[in-house]
Amino acid sequence: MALPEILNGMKVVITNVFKRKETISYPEVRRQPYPRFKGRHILDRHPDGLEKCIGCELCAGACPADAIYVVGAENTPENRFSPGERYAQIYQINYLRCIFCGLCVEACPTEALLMTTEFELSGDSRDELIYTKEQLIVDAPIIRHWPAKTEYSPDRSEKVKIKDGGMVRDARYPENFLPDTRTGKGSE
Amino acid sequence: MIDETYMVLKRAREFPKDSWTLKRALDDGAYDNLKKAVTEISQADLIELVKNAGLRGKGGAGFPTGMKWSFVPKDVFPKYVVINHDEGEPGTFKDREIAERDPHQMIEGIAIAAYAVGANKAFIYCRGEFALGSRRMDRAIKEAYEKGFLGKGIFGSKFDLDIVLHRGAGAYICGEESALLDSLEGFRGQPRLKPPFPAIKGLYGQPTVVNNTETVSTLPHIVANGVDWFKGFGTEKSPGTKVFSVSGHVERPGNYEVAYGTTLDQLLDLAGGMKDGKTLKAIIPGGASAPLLTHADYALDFDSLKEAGTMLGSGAVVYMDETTCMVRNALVTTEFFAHESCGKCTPCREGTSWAVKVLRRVESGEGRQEDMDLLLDIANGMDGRSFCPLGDAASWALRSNVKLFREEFEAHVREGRCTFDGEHKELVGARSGIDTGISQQGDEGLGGEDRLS
Amino acid sequence: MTQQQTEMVTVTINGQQVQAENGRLLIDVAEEMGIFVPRFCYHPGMKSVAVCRMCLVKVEGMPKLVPSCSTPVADGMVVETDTPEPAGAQEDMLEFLLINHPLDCPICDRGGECPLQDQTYAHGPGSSRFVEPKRTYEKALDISQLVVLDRERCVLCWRCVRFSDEVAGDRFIQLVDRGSGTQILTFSDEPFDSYFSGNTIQICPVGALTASTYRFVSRPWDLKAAPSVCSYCSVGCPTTNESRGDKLVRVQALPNENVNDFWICDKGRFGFHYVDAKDRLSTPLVRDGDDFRSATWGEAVAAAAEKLGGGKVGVIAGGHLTTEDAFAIQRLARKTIKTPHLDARIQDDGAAYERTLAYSGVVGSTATINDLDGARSIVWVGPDPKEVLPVLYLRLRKAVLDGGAKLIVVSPRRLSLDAFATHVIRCEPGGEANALSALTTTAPVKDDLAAPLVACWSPANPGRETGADLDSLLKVAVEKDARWLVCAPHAGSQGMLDMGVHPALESGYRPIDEPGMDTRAMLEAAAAGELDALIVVGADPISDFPNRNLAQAAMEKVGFSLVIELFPTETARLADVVLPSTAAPEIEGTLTNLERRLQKLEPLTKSPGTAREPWRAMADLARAMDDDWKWTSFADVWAAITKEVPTHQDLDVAALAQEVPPSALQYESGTEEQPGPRGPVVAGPGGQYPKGHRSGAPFKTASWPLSWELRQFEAKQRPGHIPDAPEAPEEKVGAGADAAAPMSGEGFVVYAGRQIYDEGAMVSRSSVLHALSKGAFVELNDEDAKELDVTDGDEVTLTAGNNEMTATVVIADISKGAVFVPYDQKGLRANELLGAGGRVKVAKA
Repeated sequence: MALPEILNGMKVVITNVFKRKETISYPEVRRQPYPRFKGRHILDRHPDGLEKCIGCELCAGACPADAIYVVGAENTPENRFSPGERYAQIYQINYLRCIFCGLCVEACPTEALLMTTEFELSGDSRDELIYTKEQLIVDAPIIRHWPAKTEYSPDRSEKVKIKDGGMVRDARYPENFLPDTRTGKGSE
Repeated sequence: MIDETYMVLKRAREFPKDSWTLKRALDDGAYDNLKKAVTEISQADLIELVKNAGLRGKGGAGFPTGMKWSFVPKDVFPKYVVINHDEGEPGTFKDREIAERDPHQMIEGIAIAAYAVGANKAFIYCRGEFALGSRRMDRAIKEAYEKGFLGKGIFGSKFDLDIVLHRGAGAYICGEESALLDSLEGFRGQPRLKPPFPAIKGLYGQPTVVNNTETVSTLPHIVANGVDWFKGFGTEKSPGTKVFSVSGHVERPGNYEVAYGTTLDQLLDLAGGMKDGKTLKAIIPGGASAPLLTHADYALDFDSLKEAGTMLGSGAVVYMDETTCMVRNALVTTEFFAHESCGKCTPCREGTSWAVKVLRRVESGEGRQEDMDLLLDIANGMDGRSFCPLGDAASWALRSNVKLFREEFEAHVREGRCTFDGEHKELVGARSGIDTGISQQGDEGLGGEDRLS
Repeated sequence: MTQQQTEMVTVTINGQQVQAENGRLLIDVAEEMGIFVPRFCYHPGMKSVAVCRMCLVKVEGMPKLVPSCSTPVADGMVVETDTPEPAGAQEDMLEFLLINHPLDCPICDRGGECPLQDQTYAHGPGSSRFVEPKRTYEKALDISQLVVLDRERCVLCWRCVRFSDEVAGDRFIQLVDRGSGTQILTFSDEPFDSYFSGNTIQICPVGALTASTYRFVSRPWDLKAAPSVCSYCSVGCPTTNESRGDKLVRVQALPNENVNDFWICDKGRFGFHYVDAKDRLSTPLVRDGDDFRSATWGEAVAAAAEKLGGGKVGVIAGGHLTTEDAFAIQRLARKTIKTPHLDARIQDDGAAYERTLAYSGVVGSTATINDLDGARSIVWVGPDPKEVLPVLYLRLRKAVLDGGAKLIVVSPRRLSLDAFATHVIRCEPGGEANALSALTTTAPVKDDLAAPLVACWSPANPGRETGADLDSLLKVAVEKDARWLVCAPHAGSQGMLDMGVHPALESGYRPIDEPGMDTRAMLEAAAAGELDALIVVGADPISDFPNRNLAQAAMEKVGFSLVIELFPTETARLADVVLPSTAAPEIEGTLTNLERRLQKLEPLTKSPGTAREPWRAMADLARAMDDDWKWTSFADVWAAITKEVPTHQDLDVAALAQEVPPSALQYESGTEEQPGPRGPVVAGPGGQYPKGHRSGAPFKTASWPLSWELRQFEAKQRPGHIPDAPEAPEEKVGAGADAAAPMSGEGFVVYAGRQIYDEGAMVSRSSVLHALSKGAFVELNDEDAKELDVTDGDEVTLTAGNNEMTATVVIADISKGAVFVPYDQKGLRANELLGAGGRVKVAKA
């Protein structure tokens, strides 16, 4: 009769009723994204504080959604933004268009453009979602390191285990993580 | 042991004290042959005479001179004769001695050539560094004008000739005939696109014959003694004699005039054998451009050397003994070509300078195993693809060094240093062995130091 | 060129057999078959040099690979371009070129449209084996206001050097040093001060030469492009306008072998900034007391229409308007307002273009620019073409140096043409007519006057009647069975004549029995208060008319004035109603060039505010005057033109936009057998090659690196070289008493002429070009200068009537008693001097 089928079907329900809930009460509860999650972009700086972005527009050229707008300009000795001749006078990413494919990051010849794991992008107006260079650029260069699991103290007396080994932190967005661009590895 | 066969150097060797003076030259019969040519021989007959004599150009390529003359159109005026006296090939110093020691023979030859092709103006493009030579030529030209051997109506004939002596500014590429013409016109010395060849469109767009100093200096002898006499010297395809500039590790470096077909061994004997009894390691048979030979039993004529995979070139023979570092040799040679490349075409400009960078690394012991193949690839990239023969020459020299002495290159890489001790590392430069009357290069005028650096 | 039957030969390239003209270059023949041989140095507009060695191909029977750019095809030739041997050579060359190339493509303006990039992808090695440091130079070097040089990127293809040497004839840019240190540079103290410098940027196969105005402005993939025509001079060079967003950022030459070859001048290339000038008019203005107030179109048009309804109305049109505008202007004047007073000659006041009618049935040229190439002799009388018709200067130079034409120049002052002219005839200002009449009888000039001959005339001397010159020239031309080029000054001038914006001609060159007033008469009438209304379309008589005070008085005294303009010009400021107009890159339209070739402009950017094309303004006015023309589009205007203009009735305007020139429509102008007026030569953007360097042009290219003729010429100028060729003789003709004294009176005769960069409304709004204008200078004969006790660089005062100005003296080869005054320069308004009688007193300042 139908009973075995029903019981068979309920088995799936019953086994899942007692499993851990996947649903969380966002935004009160949040889940850390995977390190290689592609979220909102940042523009990095060199250690000496100069912008890595040279305004080459390759990100804009690579963008399949036409979400990036860059206008280059020339550095002068008095007004230097980046090494070399060219810098981005205007740099905008339109998050209404962006599809977070990451092609722009791949296209970037200076590793200036990186993606964070920040995904909470919403706003009240269209203008608000066009991020300008001021919003995208970091204040200080982001710190990168190899995915070491342990670290010696300066006098090499003790060994310290590193939390979040292999992660790259952005000083401005401490809650967000960047994948290490050199290894692509990172713990979950 | 053979003897030298003097033709071009006859007067210079017989009268070493004053062979360049007008008095000595006239006593020795100078300008008689010019008189004979302009008064007794027609232009067509003269060209025919030189053709039959089989005289081949002595600047390097060995192109038959009579043939070159016959390409010049008869009915286009003005025509020019240009003498390539820009002797820049490393190891060559024959034209320099001819001009310094027997300028009147040269002028006589120029006049005969100009008469044959119907030119009324001849230029001597003299290498800038040749101070003494240019001074003696200058004086000889003045004397010839005074005596009426130049100017209007030479020897009562209708033949007029003016000779202009022009000193270059020291570029090897200006020894290439079309670059020479550019330089002579006052432009950057860079080879021109051929065709048209200079015989059709040369100096100022007019038909121009470009001949080497030694070639024209041979002409009076052919006019004097005829075809059969001339063909009595040398081989069938390379008749006559040739002045060889012998340098390197030999006892008596210097210019030696011998008949074509003399072997490298015999020439080495004339120069007194290897210095200090060392063993012969390599020979550059025809100037820095020519691929190397490793032993000396080749006959010195155009065809034999071509068969041996090298060339007679301008007749600069450099003997090197076993103390020579061949990496260093390749480096010095390639540095020369990189420095002298005019920069016109891509392969020569970029290839030579790249090869120098690689060779410097190898020589100083920072080479990599793949560098030998890279060097051969660079050589192949240049060979046959450059605009003028300079790139080809650079590639031949480089390739023969790497191919013949690959072991030595690999030893440099393996040991991380030059495997020859410092004392003998330097190549013995070309040095003239005759004392009287020969200047040391750059000893006067023209700021010698700068020019040679 | 001559119509000789050329021999055809059979060549096999990559296994395909093809018939080709004997002697053509292998690289061209291959390209026409669709086989692209990579190249850097070869450019069809210049002679081959074969230096980059990129185009090496295998020819059967040849011991070595040969450069296809300098190898002519021969019968039975078997060629391989893509087999391992040539492909290997091409790869090697690219590896060589790239070892010292900085590979800074991300910041290079050429990135994305770079032949080096493209060819590296197509033919290059995947990686480099070069591990040593690269060659470095100082990065960006400003070699002029317009051009930036980056020597690191240079692949030494010589294109720029050859362009300067062969095409432009001004050697400002040269090769320096040798070997791997070879570099392109200007001479130490001189900037790259050429009128044609921008072309080197366009032909550079890498990003070594870039434009200062386009530096880091855009990327090729951001650009929208539209074919257009330069709206400065009457040569009418086809251009490619490119915009990023709605901003015009770049103008490049669009190659057309019939007009401009591959070139445009710097004025055409860099002079586009007027389009978005700050003071561009964007809304109609109506006078409100001493000031203006903004108005709607309806309001402004109604206000104007009211005043134009009756009374004596004059119409003055400018030289930069399209053919459609011209047609609309004459239609409004003749049909709607019914006034015979209309004219488009302002700077060339009263120029006698219509005199050609008696000789050929057309007003304007009977020759084409291409006729210059086949000509055996060319006569030039007029202003300096390098200043006023720059690309025509290039064509004249090519005709003389490459085509072997004998050039005869008749001029009161030294022109740039003199450098390669066979005969230079120096006459007094106004003595041109006599000098020309003497041409056919004076030896040795008469021996060089042989057909095919092209006679060129342009109104040289603003403010003076030059009809007699044209008459004399035309008589010579007719006697010698010649054609002529009549060069009106501006891009739209010929269109104005064709469409009948002329007091004595209706459209289609139909003479009118009772001619109206010309510009001068209209202004005089207005100044006398006899004119009720004046319409000025795209013109600024106060700046341009050779009598400034008269124009000013006219604008002040006229009953009502309507001005249609781009900018608030001096004339517009005195108007009662001002309507905003459109610029060439914004509109669909046509321009007729000096050889009466009709070319199409395509719109690219939007015009500001409510600006409309002048023809729309005319239609609006007509509608407001109850004459509805029912025009809403470009096609509507052309429907009317084909109906009403007899010379244009068979013209298919749609054909202009095609890629290939419509051969059925293209007929020779000039000396046909058919009587009656003839239409213009038709060629749109068709007949042009694709953008960029990959152009397969049917050019005949001689195999000589730099023209020896030129070398010989320059050799003559150096001391110590053989003076074999005869010096270019200079004959004095008509210098005696019988030469007509142009004007009597005291002081110097003012000989005015335009310079390429002046205070014109459009060019002065491009800041880079404005900075290049020469400023206030005058040319004086050295004898006159000695009498005045001045030398080069001294200041002099010029006095004419109440006007007094100062200028710097340049001693020049100019007829004695004459002073050359540039027409419209900062601090030196020639039209004020000319207005005061045409003579000036010159004194040391």
